[in-house]
Amino acid sequence: MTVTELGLPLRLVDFELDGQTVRVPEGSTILEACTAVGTEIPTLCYGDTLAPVNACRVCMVEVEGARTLIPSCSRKVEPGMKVHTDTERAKHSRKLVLELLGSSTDLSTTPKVDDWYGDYEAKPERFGPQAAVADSAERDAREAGRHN
Amino acid sequence: MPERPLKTVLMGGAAGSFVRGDELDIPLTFEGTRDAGTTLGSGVVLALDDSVDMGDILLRIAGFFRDESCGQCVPCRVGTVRQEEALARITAGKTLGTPADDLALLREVGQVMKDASICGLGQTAWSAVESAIDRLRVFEESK
Repeated sequence: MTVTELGLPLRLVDFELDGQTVRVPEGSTILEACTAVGTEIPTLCYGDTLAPVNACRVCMVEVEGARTLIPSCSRKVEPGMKVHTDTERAKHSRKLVLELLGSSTDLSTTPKVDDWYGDYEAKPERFGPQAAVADSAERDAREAGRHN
Repeated sequence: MPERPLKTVLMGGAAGSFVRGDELDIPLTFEGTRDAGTTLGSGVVLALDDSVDMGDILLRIAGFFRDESCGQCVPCRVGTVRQEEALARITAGKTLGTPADDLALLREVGQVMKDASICGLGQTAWSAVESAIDRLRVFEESK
């Protein structure tokens, strides 16, 4: 006879998402909870088969009581947590991150990025034209250690 | 050497904040500096007289953070560069739009570094610059 180990049943956790009480299995991330209830949060470095990379900072949300914004892809839901996905602060952060990335990187093959530019009114070109690539000798002379 | 008036004091080092030269009654304690809206930070107290060009100091601080950013997260990796560029434009008087536009852009970049960077380096990369703008009003003529 085959015995399948089921483990302990998952407990459920209640928290507040944009003013609504949401119940998710313990250990869920804020992003997973948002996806479950249909709240779209843009992400770039998130992959559902990867451990959270936590580096793109597009999926930031506001958690009451936290000093900074929180990456929803890696923060696990805690009981009673109050999360806001749509505050001016969170939207400003997503807009600026998209602009900063778009101003320094080719995002032309990145899925959905044009939609997000529209959603957040992001204009990467407002930082001015990109500088020409510096001569390598000049670049080497400016590299780390010379805090000019 | 002739005595020169104290212009400003940088509290807590590059990640700290400037206070005015007339604010010399701030207790050097965690509570005292917090109540005065500044920080002990690393413990550095850097006194600057009126011969110092604040634009140069801010550019040097911005260059330091641009150099020291490890590059892991977007707000700090790119934000520290954009902060330095905006400061360079403002201090050189070669702004993209009006000086007020570039100052507003600088504030937006500062806010995202503070809110969305992974670590304390990015979160405080705008701290000294912000205090110079708001507390010392260094770019008052740019508004």
